[in-house]
Amino acid sequence: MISFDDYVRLRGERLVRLARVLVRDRYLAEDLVQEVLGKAYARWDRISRVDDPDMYLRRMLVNSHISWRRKRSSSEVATDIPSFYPDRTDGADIGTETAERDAAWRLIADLPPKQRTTLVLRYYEDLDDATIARIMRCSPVTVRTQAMRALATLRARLAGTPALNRKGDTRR
Amino acid sequence: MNDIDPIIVSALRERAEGAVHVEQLLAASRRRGVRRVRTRKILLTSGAAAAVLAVAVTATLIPRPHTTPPPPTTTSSAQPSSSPSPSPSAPPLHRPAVNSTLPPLTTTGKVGEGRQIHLDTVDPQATQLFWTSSTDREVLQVFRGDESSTEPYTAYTVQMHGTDVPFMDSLPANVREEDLTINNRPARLLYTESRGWLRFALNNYTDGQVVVTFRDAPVVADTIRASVLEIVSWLRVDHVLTCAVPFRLAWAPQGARAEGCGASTGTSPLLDSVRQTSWIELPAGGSFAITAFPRGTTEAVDPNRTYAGRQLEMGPDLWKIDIDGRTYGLEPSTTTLTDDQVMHILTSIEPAEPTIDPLAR
Repeated sequence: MISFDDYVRLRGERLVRLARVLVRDRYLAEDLVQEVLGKAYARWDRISRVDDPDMYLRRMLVNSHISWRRKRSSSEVATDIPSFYPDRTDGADIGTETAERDAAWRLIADLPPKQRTTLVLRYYEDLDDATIARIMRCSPVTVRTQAMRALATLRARLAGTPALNRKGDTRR
Repeated sequence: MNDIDPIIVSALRERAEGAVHVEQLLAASRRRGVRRVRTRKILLTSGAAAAVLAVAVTATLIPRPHTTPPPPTTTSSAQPSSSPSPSPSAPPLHRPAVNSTLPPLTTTGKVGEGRQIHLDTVDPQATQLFWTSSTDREVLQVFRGDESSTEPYTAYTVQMHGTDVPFMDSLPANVREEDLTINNRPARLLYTESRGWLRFALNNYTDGQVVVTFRDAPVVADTIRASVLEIVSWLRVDHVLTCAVPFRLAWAPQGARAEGCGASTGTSPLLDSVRQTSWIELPAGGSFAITAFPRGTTEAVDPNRTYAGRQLEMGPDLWKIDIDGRTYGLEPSTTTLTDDQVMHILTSIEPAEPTIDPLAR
């Protein structure tokens, strides 16, 4: 059985990255992961015995995100996240691409939590619908419905978002 | 590939970028975990308090009924009421049935008597109530408001016990104290900048305590005082509610006995819309809880074990089984139960008429 410390060292970074795409606020994302890992620590002897602890932790994270209502004032920030990222060196049109991704992220972040979670698990974690359904504790049909609604909403909003509309003729 | 898939993928990947300081994450998570373990140990020293912990973990996942807007409140008459029924402004929460055969605390009733519920509230913003009752202690946990609530607190706990039973809370070192009077009896407010404890004497043989945690610390003493007095003014101790479970256990370890029970408000008058729990004490020490979850909640069973031909879900702190479309869960508060015993108990659950003792023959 893997120890709690080893698990966090091995998978903690991945959980934080998943939280960052689930939660709007990056600091709240860190806080959410700490909260979930804190809960896991308290019952690690049992969690480490389940068939797939990683799946269980992701389920805890997703469910905590969906039901989470706490404010940042109660958070315990332990990481120092830079507010900027290094420039790319491949000569791409950095400004335009960054604006495009920022605009897309804002549209995704505006989706209802379950729709956003579905997209994150499908596109970021690259999970199939059956696995997403297990994590979200719903049926695969519900997953497909959530994804369909989310994509429809995103498409509808794309037209009104200049940063994403500039390549309208190149997107099928 | 979908037309907007690449946009989503690249937006999410960029969003996830940035350094992650794993050692700091580990240290912070361990700190929270240690605090949680410490709290759990304190709670588990009281049989019924174990229920509060379980409820706190899962309560946010339970659908909340819509509530009516709160009426203006006052704190000038902060004393538990003996009026015969909740006020008309109380939210439409469906409570366990009133047990009219037992005396309430306002007459000769005693806390924990018959493992029934002697506590209630007419908090106008309550959205879900959880009760636990054991031999000498009863606890009512209240969740209130919705996500848009601007109230300084969204949950609190009320505990009642005999005067010879100590308060179980571990108070922080920096707690401040203030003497109050409630119903012409002395009371004491203890508080920090984020929590308040109001300890008071309900009558000659019952002590009470309100515990409330505030969302946005620091909170001034006036807010804390007004809040706890407001909570006390909503308390009702003039009726007794039935604490029963809708199942019996065909098998349990030798010497096991029902020690306490728990119930919640429901979303409808139907019995299967409430959460009902029985705590079973083991002769070797420790206990376990069996809960009948409301139908249609998020507690669906995702089987990963088979025992005696029955499908079960083994989770880290909750084992579950589906019986006739309703989920039943077993939460061991002890490591003395083997996995085989847990599965044996789960598969011996039989839906039955409500009873306060699922082990009674």
